[in-house]
Amino acid sequence: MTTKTQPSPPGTNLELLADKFAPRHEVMQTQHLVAVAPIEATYTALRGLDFTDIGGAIVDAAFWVRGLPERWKNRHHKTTRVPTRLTFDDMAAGSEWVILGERPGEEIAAGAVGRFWKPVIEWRHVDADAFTEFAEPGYGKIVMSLSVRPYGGERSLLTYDIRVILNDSASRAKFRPYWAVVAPFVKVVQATTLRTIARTAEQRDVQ
Amino acid sequence: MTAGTLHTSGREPMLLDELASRFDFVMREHLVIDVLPDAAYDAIEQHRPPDLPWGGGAWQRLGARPGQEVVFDATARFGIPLRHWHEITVEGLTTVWEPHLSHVAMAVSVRPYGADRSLLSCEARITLEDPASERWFRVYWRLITPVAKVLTRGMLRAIGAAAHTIGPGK
Repeated sequence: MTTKTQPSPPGTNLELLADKFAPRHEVMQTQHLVAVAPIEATYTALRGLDFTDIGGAIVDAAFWVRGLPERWKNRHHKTTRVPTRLTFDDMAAGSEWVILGERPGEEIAAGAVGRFWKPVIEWRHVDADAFTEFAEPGYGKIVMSLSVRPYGGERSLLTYDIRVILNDSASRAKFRPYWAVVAPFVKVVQATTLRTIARTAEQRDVQ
Repeated sequence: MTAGTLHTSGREPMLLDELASRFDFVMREHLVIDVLPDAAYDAIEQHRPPDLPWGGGAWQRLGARPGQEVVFDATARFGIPLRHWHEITVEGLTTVWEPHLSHVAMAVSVRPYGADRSLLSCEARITLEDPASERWFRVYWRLITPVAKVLTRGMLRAIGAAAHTIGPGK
């Protein structure tokens, strides 16, 4: 079950779902982008985002390299499932990610649990209800939050906030060198995601 | 600390929109800091932006929306080795003209980010008063943008550090 809070006038609710689900974290990386569209159009674009639409040379190369160990492991399996669409609703229906909560019109947060520093990521399914309490050693938690707030009268400020929570010092020691390598690529993925949302919002706003 | 500052929904037009609604180039940078918005705004108020490089000159304060935004202006001929700039008022934004002159209006603003963090934003809008200079400025802008982004991020970090000393946050 996910949290769906009552809508408040955009920009007036100070509570962030990212703070609720990751109040303490090992890393926090945010990217921001101004969309030339009202907050309603921007949130609609955010909520309908298809993650498979996010692409570009660096993003595609980063995912290709990150997926190499898994493809090698599965090289004898002829059919590998590649999603053709991945919206937030698809996430909730069947992926490693769970929707943690939504502040309609302002923010949506998703989370995943696993050993993501390993060459082949070991995901562990944890329901949204149990996400905050989950603290098993050897695992880490990722919280991603996409939010939008007004930026002047007719524009919106998009934010992509990624936080990682680690439960023990051994996991922290393994995660730090991994993060040092992947953080710049994660930043590119965040920026590309925001550009995709902004472009969709701006096109819809013009129509 | 600014007493009783109201943080509104943020839907109100920015002062920057009033002072520089028309612009030819724009650059934006943002930074989340672990400080409450009131302390962040006080740090913005106390901060003097660094002079622009390569003949850009000094910033003039044009105005503010208390608790939210401070706007500065630099009016100069950019990209020339000799310093050539004007000290300008709000009225001067629409009346001062000379060949190759450009206005840079820069807003440094703050918004709440969660219950105990702030989101600092810096937006610089460049308006070319002389259309003949656009081609040259486009080249100059492409060259200077990476440097300007580094300087802007440094400025936001400096404001964040100053805000930490003013007030508590997370």
